[in-house]
Amino acid sequence: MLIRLDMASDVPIYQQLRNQIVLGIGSGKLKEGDSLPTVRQLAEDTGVNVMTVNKAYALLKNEGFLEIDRRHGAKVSRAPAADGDFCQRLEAELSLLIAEARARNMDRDTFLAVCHRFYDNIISRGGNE
Amino acid sequence: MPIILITVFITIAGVFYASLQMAANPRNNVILNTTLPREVHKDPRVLEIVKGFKKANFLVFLASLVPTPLLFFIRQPSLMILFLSVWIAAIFLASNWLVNKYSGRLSALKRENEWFVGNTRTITVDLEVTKAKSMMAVSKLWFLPSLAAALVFLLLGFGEQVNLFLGAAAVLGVMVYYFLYILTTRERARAYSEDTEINMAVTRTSIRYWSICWAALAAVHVFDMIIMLIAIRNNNEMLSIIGVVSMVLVSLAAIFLTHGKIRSSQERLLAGSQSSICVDEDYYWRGGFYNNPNDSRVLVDKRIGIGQTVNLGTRTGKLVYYGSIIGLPVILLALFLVFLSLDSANFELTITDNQVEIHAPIYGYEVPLSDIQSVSLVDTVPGGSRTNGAATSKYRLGNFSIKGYGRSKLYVYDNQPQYIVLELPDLYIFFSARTPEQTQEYYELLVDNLE
Repeated sequence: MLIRLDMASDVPIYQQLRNQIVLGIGSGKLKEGDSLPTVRQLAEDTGVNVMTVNKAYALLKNEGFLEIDRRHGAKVSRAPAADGDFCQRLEAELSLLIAEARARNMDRDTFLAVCHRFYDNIISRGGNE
Repeated sequence: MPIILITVFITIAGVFYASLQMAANPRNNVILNTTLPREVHKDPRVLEIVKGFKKANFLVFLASLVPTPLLFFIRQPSLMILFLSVWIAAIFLASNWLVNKYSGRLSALKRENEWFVGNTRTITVDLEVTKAKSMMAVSKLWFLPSLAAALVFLLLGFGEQVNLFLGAAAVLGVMVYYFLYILTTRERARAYSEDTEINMAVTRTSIRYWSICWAALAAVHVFDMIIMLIAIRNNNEMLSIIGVVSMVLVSLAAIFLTHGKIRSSQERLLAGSQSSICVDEDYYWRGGFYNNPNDSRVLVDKRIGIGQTVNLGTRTGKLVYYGSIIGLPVILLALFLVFLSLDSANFELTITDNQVEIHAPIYGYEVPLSDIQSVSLVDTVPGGSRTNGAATSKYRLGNFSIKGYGRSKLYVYDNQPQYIVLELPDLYIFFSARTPEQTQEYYELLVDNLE
């Protein structure tokens, strides 16, 4: 699986790294039990600071996507439930996007069609591997 | 002596020439320090610039050989150092100028035609490659035979200076090659393609071949030190020259071959790939130096020539770069001054308070009169091997092992009719002044004081 980091972006590198790995898990490219490179290896190849990679891994661990094992490094863990914090964030971000879509005169069906397409897109990306 | 220097001279010029010729062939879509999309590599305008560059490079190579005959006339080591430094600096500047000139033309052509490719600020890595990278090199055990041989060499050498010195050089050499091996295993793995298989193959080729190259060169180095020992033991100067020259040539050949082999197989792999990822880093390589503050690596692969260069965007990189800009001339100047003082050396001998004092640069010596067992005049100083000291066509100075005498200190100008020999309990001192008359005076002084 490829990871892309945009050095010119406003999004912090650790956040980009976290997002890329979540994308990998969501699309199925990374499966439960798959191991990730060690912090040092990933920092070496991306050229970013070890602390940055560490921060991304710690974030993913707190969110329940990764397990960090002392001997085997980082591993994709069993999918965490979509509840609590995530539901709150989903609702907040969706409300804003729906409001903006309505403000731009996008109707309900078009909005939902876009949602469907992108949901399927993520799944088919994993299937291509 | 000039033969060795001429070999070194032509080899250096050849290395500069060959690495610039290589820079004109595409590697990872980079031609002459300029990133170009694969489909325009064969564009006639690009080919014309490349052809012009190769021709100019050949002319620079020929021009750099012009001063070679001077090597037959320069006798003083100090002038030789000065000459070599100026000459290497000139080739270096000429090569830089040449690359900048032609890559400037190429990037102007690129701008005109908007041949921009890939993202400039995106880093792409392949997680599978990053994970598997540490398993791609040949085993560390490949260094074991060389290390064992070097250690045995060193241990057998205790008690004998030459052997000990060469043994230490053998161990040190193996360690240097091991360090290069470690650097190779940590080489940054880029994603060259969307296809993980291709990324794996490209990275494996590079790490595997380089690790084999370093392990093999470590063995060559130890073998060469053994040859040097045999040469010095038998006072075979020809063999030691062959040893040094062949080692340099074998190492250079191995590095060039490995580089070429990796390059051609990577090009082949990537040419067959549909989804190659092109990265345009030209912005960070302006003027031929890599300056990227977003990249925490200190050492990066060069675009021109073989090996690595420092990242001027990092603090360590800046320190190394500016340090060497200041440090190298200082070291060369210091060397020049040391040799200048040796070249203009005057050997003097005085006797005060029953002590014989010999004045000479670096190797000055004092000995009590009572230790001198005999003093005599000989008409030649036989050959022998140097332990540490200076031997030029004009004088020999320092510690030597002289045939028929053994451990000796030499303070002699060559081509004199006679030399003073002082015999000490376990050491001989050979001494001569610049003129036979002075030598005669010193001899009489010693004889008078010994009576």
